[in-house]
Amino acid sequence: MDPASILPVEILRRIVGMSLDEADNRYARLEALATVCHQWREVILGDGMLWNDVYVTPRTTSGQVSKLLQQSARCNLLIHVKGTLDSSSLGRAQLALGQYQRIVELDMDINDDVWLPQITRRLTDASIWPELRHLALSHFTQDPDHDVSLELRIYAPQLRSLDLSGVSVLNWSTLGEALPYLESFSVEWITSAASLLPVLPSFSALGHLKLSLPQESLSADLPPSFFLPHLHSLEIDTRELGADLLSAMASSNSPELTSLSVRFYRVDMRQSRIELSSPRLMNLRIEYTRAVDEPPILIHFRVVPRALQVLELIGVTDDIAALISPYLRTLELAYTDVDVERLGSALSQCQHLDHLVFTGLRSTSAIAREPPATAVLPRLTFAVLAHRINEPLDDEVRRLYVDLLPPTIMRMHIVGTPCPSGEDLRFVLEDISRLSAPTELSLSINDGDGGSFCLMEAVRDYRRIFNVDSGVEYLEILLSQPAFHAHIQRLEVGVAHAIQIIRHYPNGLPLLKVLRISYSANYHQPYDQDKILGALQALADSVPSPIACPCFKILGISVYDHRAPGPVLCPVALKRALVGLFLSQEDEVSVEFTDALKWVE
Amino acid sequence: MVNLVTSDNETFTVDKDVAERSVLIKNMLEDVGESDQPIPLPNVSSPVLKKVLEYCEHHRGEPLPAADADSNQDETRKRSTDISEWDQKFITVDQEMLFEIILAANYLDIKPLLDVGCKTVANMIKGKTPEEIRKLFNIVNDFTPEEEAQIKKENEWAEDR
Repeated sequence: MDPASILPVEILRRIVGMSLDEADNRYARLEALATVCHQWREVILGDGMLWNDVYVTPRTTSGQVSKLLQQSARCNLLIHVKGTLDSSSLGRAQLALGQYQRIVELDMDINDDVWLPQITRRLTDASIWPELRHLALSHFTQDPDHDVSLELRIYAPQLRSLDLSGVSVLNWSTLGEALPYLESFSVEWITSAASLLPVLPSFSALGHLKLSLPQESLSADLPPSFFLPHLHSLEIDTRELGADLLSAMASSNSPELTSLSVRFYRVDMRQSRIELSSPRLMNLRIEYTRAVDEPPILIHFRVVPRALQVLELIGVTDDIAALISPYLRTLELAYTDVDVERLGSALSQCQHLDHLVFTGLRSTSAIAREPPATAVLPRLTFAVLAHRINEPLDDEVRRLYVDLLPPTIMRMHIVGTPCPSGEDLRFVLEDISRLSAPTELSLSINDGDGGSFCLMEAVRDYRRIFNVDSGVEYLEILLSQPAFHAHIQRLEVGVAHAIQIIRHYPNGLPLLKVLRISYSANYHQPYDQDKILGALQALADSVPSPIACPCFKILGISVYDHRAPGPVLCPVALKRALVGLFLSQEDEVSVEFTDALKWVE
Repeated sequence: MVNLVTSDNETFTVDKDVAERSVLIKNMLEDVGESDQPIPLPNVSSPVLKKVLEYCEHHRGEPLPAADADSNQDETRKRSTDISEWDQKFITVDQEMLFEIILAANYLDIKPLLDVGCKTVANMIKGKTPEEIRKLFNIVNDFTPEEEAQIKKENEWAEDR
């Protein structure tokens, strides 16, 4: 059935556009698609917008560039110049840039110190780039301290976004004055940040600023007139951050700032603390990457934002409970100290919180058990509790985490021990009882090093993951749920758990399709052929008669130990006995096994 | 509740927020105000509307795309062809139904569904040779050998220069 004869032309064009890869083979692909039939050819050649994305790489020919420019006549152009250009491909790039009057997007990524200035001179030579809205110049060099400094004086009155990577500009303020509507400005891997920062106000319409300078130290030497009236979003990623710089930028100098994301490896604390005084902040992330080993950095809000929706504090500390706003949707706290009782009490008002991450937290207080201080967060869908490296989970933080969980939590990850007890999480595990229609419920339990327990309901991508030493406690609660029996389709468990489950259901599992059993050796349980065979035999003997599993299709057996001298030799009769455990109505039950297992007569 | 009447005269009664995933229906409801009048959908048959409503039901409550979300052709074209797992299962239908769903989504103005349909066809085309595409959609190659030779010559010219 030909889509061209059924679908309107604009939809077929849309489909053809979507089928093209984001790469330099667009041209060849369009040429190929235009040979399907006359109707397709007409549709494809008739749409200039399909041809207006021009890639110039060392492989592009002049003929291709010419044809793209011709086919896309009168359409806006998107030009990409990529790779190490030789003199002839430089000519092709110049050919494309010659259409500067209709270029809306120019993305140049050049790994050559010679050609970049030549190509960018073109930007300066053209008197005006009337349509250009997005410009990205990237120069990759092996030497992180070496960037290219360009005399870039481009006049592009419509330019909205500028990304410079490895490219510095000799006169930043002149550039800023020539770009009156620049809203988004991103610089990466440059060494001239010190000369850029003070003249940022020359970019008068600046709304979003990203400084990604992981090799640099950023500190403030800002003039008194420094003022960014429209700045609403600021991202900083730097090696060493001057506390004074952050305090100066997140202040009344940027009165509209709503989103602030800062990541640093070291901090220059000549000022004793980071002070934030932007009253309109809604999204805040501060990440001190060394906090895993170092004490947290003190921040202080001179004006506490009233409408924080995202709060992510990694390795920094403050009166965190005071920052919790009723509008909060995301909260991530890591490598810091928290007063769990005050935090729990503050979180009780967060009816909209849907994303919660606690990593490596230490409590400075205990939760009062009676009366309960914390309310369940009704909209929470994603919650992570993780330990600090080489430390157990903090007891009080774990209790707070469990207290906050609603039974309907969609994704729950607990990394570290001691895990909440089965009794603590009973209310979450028992939520399985709400399943009313058959869903693809699967359970995997890994008893190896680290261990894991994963229950997944595939229909709604509902997932629960725990890292535990043993899944026994959780498994017992699940086995007591009628819904588990009714819905389970896939089981991936160790031999001992397989025996426990099979014995629990002598009358069968109506939807079970796949059972993968594993016997993994680890340092505590070294390789032993007799033990492995004994475990598999115990499984084969676990019930006196086969159990009904009408949908059963796959039995997987994994045995692995990288120190094993050779495969485990397993009698075929044992394989038959294992398959014979399940009464299936399927034509065939396949047995999948790892290389470490060999069947012998 | 809203009553929708298909081209084959079947009536579907659905929640208003489900029906309003369609911008066309949403606008119609706004125009007629509070009314029990059924909404005729003469371009959609009942099997297709059933599928479309299954999609709307699953995605009810999700934010609707902005009215001008598609106005920028460049952005549309650049969008990835990734489709969520549920949508993929939903759109696993025969070709005839797939095209019917696309047409219905276009008529009813349900942009996310139109996107899923177009992406599915785009993914079917991706990586295939013209001959494979002809086979896939049962398209007759209507180029004469002379025309084919001419196209080949033109393309070679561009490749070689």
